[in-house]
Amino acid sequence: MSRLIPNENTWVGFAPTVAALDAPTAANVASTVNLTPFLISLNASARGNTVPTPSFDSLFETSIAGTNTATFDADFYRDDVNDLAWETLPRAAEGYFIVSRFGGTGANNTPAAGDEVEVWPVMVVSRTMANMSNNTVMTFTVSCSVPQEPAETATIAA
Amino acid sequence: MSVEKVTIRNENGDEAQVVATTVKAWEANGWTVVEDESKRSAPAPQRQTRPTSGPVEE
Repeated sequence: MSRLIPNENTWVGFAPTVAALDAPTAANVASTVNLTPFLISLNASARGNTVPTPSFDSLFETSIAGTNTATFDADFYRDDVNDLAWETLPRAAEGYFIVSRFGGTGANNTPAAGDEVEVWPVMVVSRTMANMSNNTVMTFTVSCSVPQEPAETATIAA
Repeated sequence: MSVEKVTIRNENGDEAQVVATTVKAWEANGWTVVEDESKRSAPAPQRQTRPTSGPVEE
């Protein structure tokens, strides 16, 4: 066990389809657009809601589990030669982000059969350029809806 | 505001709908655009042939 940073570890690809949310195939991974070289930051998080259930017989405010939801936002670089991230993620693009936080066992940290990944089904709701300013690299932000419950412990099938 | 989408297919037979402007990115990853049968142009109407019989004007 060791602590690590995402640089040279994390791999992120965008697939137009997957065989199963909790078991994308190695072929699905092979036909993704690899967005790792363009990725600056990633916010893929699920959140649960609680429902307050206080009652008159107690000063303690109880709660029960309610609904849960997820958000997915990411920042990428623009590139005037190979603008792959920008071209792949216009508004209304639908697909699946396959995220290997610790990196896969394939070449360049690509996930291979048996590797654990997260699969986030998304639809891009906005693709926004960051404000341009002097001496600052050009980037953009993608915000997505998450139309299905993400698979946070998926395993790549053969 | 509607977004034009096209169907793409990879060598494993997987199909997916993608935004039309992203096709270049997918083609670079081994996907090809599937021709939309419904958008194929209708067969050209048969050419009207002139009647071979009947009065011929001099």
